[in-house]
Amino acid sequence: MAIFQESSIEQYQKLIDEIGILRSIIDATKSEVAHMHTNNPNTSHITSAQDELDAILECTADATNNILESAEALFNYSERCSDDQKSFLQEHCTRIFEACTFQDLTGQRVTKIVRTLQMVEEAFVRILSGFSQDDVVPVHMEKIETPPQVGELVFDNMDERSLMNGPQIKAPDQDAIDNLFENLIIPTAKIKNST
Amino acid sequence: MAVDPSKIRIICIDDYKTMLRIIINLLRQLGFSEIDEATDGVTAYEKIQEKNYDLIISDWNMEPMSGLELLKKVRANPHCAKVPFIMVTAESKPENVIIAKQAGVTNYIVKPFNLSTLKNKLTAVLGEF
Repeated sequence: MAIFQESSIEQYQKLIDEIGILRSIIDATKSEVAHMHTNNPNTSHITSAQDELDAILECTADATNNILESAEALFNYSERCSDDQKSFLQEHCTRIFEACTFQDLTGQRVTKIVRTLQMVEEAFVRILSGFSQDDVVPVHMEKIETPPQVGELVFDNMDERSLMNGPQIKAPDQDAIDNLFENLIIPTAKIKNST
Repeated sequence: MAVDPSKIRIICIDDYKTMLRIIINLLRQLGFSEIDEATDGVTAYEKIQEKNYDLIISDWNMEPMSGLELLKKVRANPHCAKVPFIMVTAESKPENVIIAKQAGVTNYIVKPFNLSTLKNKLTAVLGEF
């Protein structure tokens, strides 16, 4: 079914122009990200957003490993200290270990952003390729399937890729997860040999 | 009777080596010392088939085999079907928790987590230590 009425060429041109502006914004963003480099000479060749992501992950992993190394050294040293000193050192080392989990979550969030930008860019390229500037014609789109209603638990045939979303902005805390987990009633036939 | 943590054989799986290092450090603080590691589900599954582990701790978001896929393979293999499996993951949507429990996960920890949470979950799975 055609989604655009065959109106004036001016309307189509305006739409093309708007899409072109959005494309420029994406290109400018990528360019800005590519210019956010460190003084590390090993990163001077970076040109793509994917390379930038890898560099971010590498830098944060290096920094985190340095922090962990020092925390581990302090923790091991604490075994030679008095009880009070040992307790003090180990408590703070534990807090350092816990805080360092930021590196994993940062990496996952950055990966999500880059993937989203790539998807948006690919969508724009497809949209742009659907228009002809010489001979504007309506773009035919396939019917959008109605998504499952909220509340329908259709999980049996779910694409498992869709479950890998990484950290959420407003993620539930452990207590909320525990509440859900402990109160879930799964039919016996569906549980796979859990202890 | 309390469990001796130094005798518990654990395998930890996470594709981020720093996260793996953190989890292992926290486990050592709790008294566990028999800890193997893997950075992907395929390698982890090979190790799980070769050795009798008392506990599996795994991330979800990994390639080429996700933690969920690893869980399903473990539960389908009579050699390791009953081994407690704790998912430690940033995936916190209700459908993730539901599907993991359906697949037979023993417990579920969301990142970021602290030592106290880890200890509580291990106690729930293994008993007091």
